[in-house]
Amino acid sequence: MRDFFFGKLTWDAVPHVWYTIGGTVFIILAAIAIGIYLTLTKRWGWLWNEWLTSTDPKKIGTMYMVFASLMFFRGMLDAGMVWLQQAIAADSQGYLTADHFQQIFTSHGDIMVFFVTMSFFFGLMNWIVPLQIGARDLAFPFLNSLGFWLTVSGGLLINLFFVIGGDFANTGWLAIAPFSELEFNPSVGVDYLIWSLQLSGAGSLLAGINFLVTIIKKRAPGMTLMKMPLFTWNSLCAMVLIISAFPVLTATTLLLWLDRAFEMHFFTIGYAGNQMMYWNLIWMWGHPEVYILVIPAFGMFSEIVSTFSQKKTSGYVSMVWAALTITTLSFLVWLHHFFVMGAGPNVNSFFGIVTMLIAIPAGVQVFNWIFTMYKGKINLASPMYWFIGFLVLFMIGGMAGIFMASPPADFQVHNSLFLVAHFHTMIVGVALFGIFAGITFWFPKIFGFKLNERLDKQAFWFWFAGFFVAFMPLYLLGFMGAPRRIDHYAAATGWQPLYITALAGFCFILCGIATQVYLVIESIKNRKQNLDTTGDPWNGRTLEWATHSPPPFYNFATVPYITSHEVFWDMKKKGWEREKKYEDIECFKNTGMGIYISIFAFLLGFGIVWQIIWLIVLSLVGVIACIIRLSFDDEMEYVLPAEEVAKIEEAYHRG
Amino acid sequence: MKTKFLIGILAVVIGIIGSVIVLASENALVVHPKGIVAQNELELIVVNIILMLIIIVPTYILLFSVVWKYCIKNEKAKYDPDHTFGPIGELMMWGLPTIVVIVMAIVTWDATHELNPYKPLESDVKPLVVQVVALDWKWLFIYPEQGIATLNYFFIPERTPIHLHLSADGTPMNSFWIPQLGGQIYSMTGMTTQLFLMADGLGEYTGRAVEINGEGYADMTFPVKSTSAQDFADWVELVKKSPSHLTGDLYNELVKPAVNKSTIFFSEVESNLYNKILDKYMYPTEPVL
Amino acid sequence: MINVSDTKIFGFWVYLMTDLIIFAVLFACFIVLHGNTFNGPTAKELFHLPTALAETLFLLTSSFTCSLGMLAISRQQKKWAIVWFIVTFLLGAAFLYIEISEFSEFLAKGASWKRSAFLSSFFTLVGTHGLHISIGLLWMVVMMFRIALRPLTEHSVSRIFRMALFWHFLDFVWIFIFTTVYGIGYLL
Repeated sequence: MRDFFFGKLTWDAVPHVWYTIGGTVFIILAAIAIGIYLTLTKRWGWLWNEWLTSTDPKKIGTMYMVFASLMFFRGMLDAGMVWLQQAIAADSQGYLTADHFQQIFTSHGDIMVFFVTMSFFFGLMNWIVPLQIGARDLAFPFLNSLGFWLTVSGGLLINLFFVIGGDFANTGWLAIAPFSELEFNPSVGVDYLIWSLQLSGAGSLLAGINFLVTIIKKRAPGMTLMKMPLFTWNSLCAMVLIISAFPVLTATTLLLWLDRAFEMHFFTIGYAGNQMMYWNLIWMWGHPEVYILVIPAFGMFSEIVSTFSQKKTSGYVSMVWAALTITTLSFLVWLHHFFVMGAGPNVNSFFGIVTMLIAIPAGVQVFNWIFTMYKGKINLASPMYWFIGFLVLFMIGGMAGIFMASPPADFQVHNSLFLVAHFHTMIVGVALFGIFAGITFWFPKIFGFKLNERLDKQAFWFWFAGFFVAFMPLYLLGFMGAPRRIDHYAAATGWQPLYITALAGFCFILCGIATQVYLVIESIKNRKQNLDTTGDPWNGRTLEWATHSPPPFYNFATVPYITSHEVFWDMKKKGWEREKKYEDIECFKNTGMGIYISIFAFLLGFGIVWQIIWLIVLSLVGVIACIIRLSFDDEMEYVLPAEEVAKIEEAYHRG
Repeated sequence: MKTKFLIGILAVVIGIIGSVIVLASENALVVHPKGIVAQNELELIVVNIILMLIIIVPTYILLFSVVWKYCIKNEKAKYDPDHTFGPIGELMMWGLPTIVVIVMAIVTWDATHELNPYKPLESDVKPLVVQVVALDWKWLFIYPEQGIATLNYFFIPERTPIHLHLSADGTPMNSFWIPQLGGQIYSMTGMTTQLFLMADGLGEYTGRAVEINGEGYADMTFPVKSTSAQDFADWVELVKKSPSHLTGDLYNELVKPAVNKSTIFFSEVESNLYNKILDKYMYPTEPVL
Repeated sequence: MINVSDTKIFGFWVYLMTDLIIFAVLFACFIVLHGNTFNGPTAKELFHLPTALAETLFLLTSSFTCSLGMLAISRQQKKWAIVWFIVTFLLGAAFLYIEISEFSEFLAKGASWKRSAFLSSFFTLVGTHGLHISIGLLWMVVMMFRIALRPLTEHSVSRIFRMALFWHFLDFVWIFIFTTVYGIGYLL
């Protein structure tokens, strides 16, 4: 009876160690602070109507960005704790137990990959892809909202262990079996990981389908595939990767959960389970995932470099083929994550060589970026700083990657800090720098004012210098035989000075983040001085710059006919004025259904983690009821008459 | 501006000097191989790096010179907004990396087959067979031909190929790594892998587990010692006088998860222990021993 | 009546492809694990081909009757549409009944999903398909209400069409299950 009501919950789940108590107090205080602020400024209604229930991709994009930033702070906190522990744990246990340390880097990885990087990219895509292709909205506006809120519910679930449960997974971010099986990990930590990933995975999959269909079906007239801007092309490639790879993650983590909840034997070490199969499956998802993280950044940088060099992107067709090649190859290389599992030289060489092939389209892209700048007029605004920093780091990280693609070389660096340095170089140097550059670049379009250039450049230097100081020691540590994920080590290994250097680098990066926070606050305070009145603050080349800043919720009053992939540049050359002919526009209503379904989904996830049967049944019924209710709602769209459109447009022209 | 540039150059120089110092020290295990396998792997690493630098270094030079020359402040640079490199440029862009990758692919194919962990090493000396069992959180080394075993102590004769059979029991995946002798290989419960290593000479090294497997992961290290053939034989005789026997019951105790950094020598080992451990996971039986 | 270039139908096809990939993973697991019986019950010992054949016949016929339902929709014949969808529902329910009986029989023999990796993968693959069938049946009921209560606009027809697509998709997946699980399991 007790089990029926409470599942596996016991009094032990109440926070009782320093970090769970601290986390709970922080969450409660933050919630109270926000609640007080909203009540005093009477903004509850505004928040609900203007933001939370919105289906406007620009608003959803901004919400993704805010959510990603909050999760970023959590992820960086984890990172700092890891760096500190490793710097002091020579011949001592440091300040963290082994188990706690393992939980920290596990949550660091999951949060940074799923909730920070992917959310930032979905945010940027929501902002810009419809504008770039001349669309008014995504193909499925409701699914856009639902996808976002499912991601948020996943983010809540992954942080919930602070308040209820006390344990997160200690298995590494991919919950590798058989370590994540019941035999070695009976507590609910791994279940929290699995179900927060399922929730956010569902959100990502919906967003992936949405953007794919939008890009294929909703382009402005005249925009053939080979006239799409490169950011849209790269987003399309990333979406193809998402819809092909994320189902594998869903299925694989589901199988792991079945092993744990129903005592099945997919990946157990007994009963003829096959632990190697988990590795194959999870990396079949995992490798395309890391390309999902970097391919949109490539697209963003292509836009940035051509805009700030005031020159056409070199080799547009090659760039498209390079993106497609990388997308295709990313499905064929998963085994390089476990060369050391003894697959035999033929299999290992095959996967190693195919991995090396990726260097070719990557090289093509690098050359094209440099050739775009050649004979251009380079304006070194802050997005270009991030771009150059990205190129420097991309080549280092890429070299490290190709180096590890050779199986015998990998035997000596697999699971060492060399590997950790490589993938952080790619994620920070490519994905994160791309996000920072993209935010600076497109911020004026979405919010109507520019960010403070000087502070952004300062932040860049902190990040760039900090990155080298923090991660170059890790490459060296790899060659010193230091494995990843260890919570303490012997001082005789000589590793400590390098760990301390890395910690110093982290402090630089912290300064960079502090500068970025200050940057946002400063820019908002001084926004009146930095207004973008023309809609085209950077002398842009692609369609999004043809709208007002910020654009009206319907983006374009009239959708232009597309003649090239740099249609706005061409329009400006021919002399261009906004059309004053207005027509009725079909729009999508706000809806709270995405939030309601996600609340039920969150409760479902929670119920499954703790095996509380009645909660599982109730929340499942809730989700299904919401969906059925939604299916009978035939009035989700409405028409904005042309006169209304005219009024909104005139207001812009009046300034 | 100039000071910032100089600080940057100084930082890079310090970084390079520091890296060289670190890599030159004996603590940089991967770069100071003491075994033929590690030696070959290091040579491969160096070859790969050089091949990649052939493309990377010119690309860096190209990048910085282009940015420098075409920066908006440089009035002298020619501005050509529609400039493209045409088909020759395309050919070079796709062709140059392809050539380097083809060379690296050939090198990789050869090296992967040559440095296949399962491939016996060339030597006139008969290989010494050692069976390694990874346990939570300790390593068991069984010398089946000598009939002895050790816990957390890997003693080998120099210049003799060591033929390792690796497995695990009751643990998640493990990885067996002695950086100075050669690359790692996974040791998995219910399965067996193989690895060949050979020490060039006398020496003491460290080996460790390199795949996370629980609380005792960081403590799962073991000392490795290579001695002369005569000293090895003497050591075997010494171990055979040890009072400790690796019986089935003691083995079952060892399988239980606990950090155990003690060094134990066993003069007797349960017969066919390694195969019995593997069989445990093939058929449903009571604990093997 | 059905606008096949409808964006929603295209999006639904994309979703079906992702669902197919989930099944592909489950198939891959089954193929890898089909021999991992850990000395327990094997496919040969457990599976009855006649059972699988009956399930197949029921499901294939239900796909046919579902198409008849869609034909009625395209002719704006609400009553006939509901009739054919009820028949489809009954056939699908019969399929589920046989499947659940088969599972109960296995469990009674001690051949549960806990016994071996082979059985885990069998129950998961076939069970996931059964779960999809259940969702399809629920969807069919909701659509029958829609046919009864709402006019057959393009919007309504698009929704019903997607449900039918889902149903045919499940039939398609079953063909593979029948071949891979029962065929290979029994014959090899």
